[in-house]
Amino acid sequence: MGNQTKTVEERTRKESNFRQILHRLQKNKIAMTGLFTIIILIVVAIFAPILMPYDYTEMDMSNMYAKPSLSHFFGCDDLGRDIFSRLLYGARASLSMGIIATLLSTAIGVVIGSAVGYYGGWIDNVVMRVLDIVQAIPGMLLAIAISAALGSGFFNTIMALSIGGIPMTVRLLRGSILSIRNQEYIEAAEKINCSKPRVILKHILPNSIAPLIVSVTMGIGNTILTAASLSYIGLGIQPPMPEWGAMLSAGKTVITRYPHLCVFPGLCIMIVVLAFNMLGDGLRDALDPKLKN
Amino acid sequence: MGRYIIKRLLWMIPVVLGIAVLIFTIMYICPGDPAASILGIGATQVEIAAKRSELGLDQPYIVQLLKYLKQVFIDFDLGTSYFYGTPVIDGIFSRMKYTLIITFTCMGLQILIGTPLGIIAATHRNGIADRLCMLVALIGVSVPGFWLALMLVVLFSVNLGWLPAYGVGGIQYFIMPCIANCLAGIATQARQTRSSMLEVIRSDYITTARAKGMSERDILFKHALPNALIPIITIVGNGMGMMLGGAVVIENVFSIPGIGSYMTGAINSRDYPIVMGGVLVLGLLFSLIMLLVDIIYAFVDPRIKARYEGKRKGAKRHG
Repeated sequence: MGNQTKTVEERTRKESNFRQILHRLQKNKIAMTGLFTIIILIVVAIFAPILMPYDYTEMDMSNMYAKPSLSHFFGCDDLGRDIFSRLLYGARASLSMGIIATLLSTAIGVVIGSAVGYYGGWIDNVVMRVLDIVQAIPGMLLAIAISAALGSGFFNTIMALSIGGIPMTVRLLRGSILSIRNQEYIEAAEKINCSKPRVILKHILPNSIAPLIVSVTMGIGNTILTAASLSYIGLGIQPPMPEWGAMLSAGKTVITRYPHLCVFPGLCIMIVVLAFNMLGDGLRDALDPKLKN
Repeated sequence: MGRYIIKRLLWMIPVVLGIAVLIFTIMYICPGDPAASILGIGATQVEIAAKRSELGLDQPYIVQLLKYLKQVFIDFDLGTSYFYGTPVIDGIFSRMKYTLIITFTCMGLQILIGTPLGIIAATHRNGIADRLCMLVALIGVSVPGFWLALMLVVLFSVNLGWLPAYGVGGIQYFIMPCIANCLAGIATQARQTRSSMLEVIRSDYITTARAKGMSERDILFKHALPNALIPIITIVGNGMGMMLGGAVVIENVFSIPGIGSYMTGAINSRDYPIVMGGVLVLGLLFSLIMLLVDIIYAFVDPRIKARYEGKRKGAKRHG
C-alpha cells in the first residue's frame, strides 16, 4: 500500500536525483576514462578468441623468448607462445574472477548486513564478533589459507577471494542501516504494517545503495590484485590457463635475460585495477557531492 | 580509560581463540589426507590407517579441535612440517626476523611519507600539488607490489647493478623489497589522510577559527590535524595487515628467507601445517597491533573515553 500512494512528484524527484549523479559522473574525466577502459577490457575479454592473432596454447620453438616485434606484438614466452594472445585471453580469468568474487561477497554481505542491522539484538552481537575474528586475519593471508586448503581452480579461488570481503560489506550495510532505521519514513512504513522483509528491500536497501556501489567498484580492482598475487605464489588459477599473475610467476625465472615476459602482464593488471579505482573514485565523488566543494 | 583498556585486552582472548578455530576448521575441510602426505607415495592403506589413528585424525571434529587448541596455546606447538619433519614453530621463529623488518619498515614509511602527502594534498585542494599527489596515489594503489618488485630488479640490479637482486645481508638487500611493498601503503595513507582532512576542514570550528583571525598554520596544527588524526590511526592499523600480506608475496620475489617464503615454499609441496601455522602467527601478530592501535586511539581521542562512559550509563537506562 505504501508504494501505491507514491506521488508523481516523488518519482520525478528521484529520477532527477539519479540524473544529477549521472551528470556529475559524466563531467568527471578521470571516472569516464576508467569506465571507458573497463568497457573496452570487457569487450576484449568476451571476444578474445576472435581478437587474438595466435592460439594461446600454440607453441613455436623457433620463437622461444622472441622479443616484441610486428608479428608478435609483446614477444613470445618460454614455449614460444604469443604473449599478446595470452594476455587477451587472460583478461577473461582476471575480470571474471574479480567481478564474480566481489558480487558474491557483496551479495552475502548485504543479506547478513541488512538482517543484523535491522533486527539487531543478540544476533547482531554474535555475528559482529564472528566477523571481528575473520577480519583479525589480514585479507591476503586469509585468501592464501583458504586457497591452499581448497586447492587451485576457478571456483575454489573465487571462494577464497570472496570470504575475506564479506565482513567489510556487512559493516558498511549495517552502519548505513543503523543510521537510517530510526528515520520517520521507516517508522511510517512499519506503522502501516509493511512486513520486515519489505521494509528492508523497499525502503532500507535503496537508501544505503550508494556506498555499496562505490565499495563494489573498488572491491573488483582489489580482488583482481589479490587474485593475481595468489596465482603468482602458486595458488589460484594455474598454467596452462593464461592468467596474468601466473604469467608473471613463469616469467620471473628468466627476468634477467628476458624482462618482456614480465613487463606486459604486470601492466595489464595495473591498467585494470587503475580503471576500477578511477571509476570508483568518480562514483564516490558523484554520490557524495559534499566532498566536491 | 583503564576500564576500556581492560575490556579491550579481555576481548583479545576470544579473538585469538577464534583465529585458531578458524584456521583449524579451514585445515579440517582441506581435501588432502595429512597421513598420506607424511608417508609419501608408496604407503599401503594399512600404513595410512595406522598413521591416521596415531595422529588422531579418525576422531570427531570437536575432539580434534580441542586437541589442536591445547597443542597451540598450552604446548606452543604448531605441528610438524610434512616435508622437513621439523616443528613448524621453530621454522617460523627462525624466519620471523626478516618478515618483521620488512613489515615495520614499510609501516614507518607509510606513516612518514603518506601522512604528509595527504595533508599537503588537502591543504592545497584542487591545486597542482593536490592533483599530482592524488594521481601518484591512485597509481600507487593500483600497482601490484610483486610486479613493481620485479621491475625494480630489472632496473636496479640487472641494468644498473646498484642493488642485489635477491637474498639477505646488509641494508642494501632490504631497499627494493621495502619500496615495492610500501608503495601501496603510502598511497592508501595519503588518500585516506586527504579525505579525512577535507572532512575536518569543512567543519564549523575551522570556519570559526578562520573568522577569529587565526593563522592558517595554527588552524592546521591546532585544530585540523588533531581531529583528522583519529581516522588516520585506524588506517595505520589496517595498513599493517596489508604490509604483512604484501611481505609474504614480496619475500618470494627476492628470495628472502622470512615467514612468507617459508609459507609459499610450503604451498608448492602441499605442506599445510606450515601454511596454517604461518597464517596463525601472522594473524596473532596483526591482532596484537590492532590492540595497540585501539589503545593509542583511546589516548588520542577523548571522545572514546566519554563515549565509553556514556555507553555504560546509556546501557543502564535502557536495561
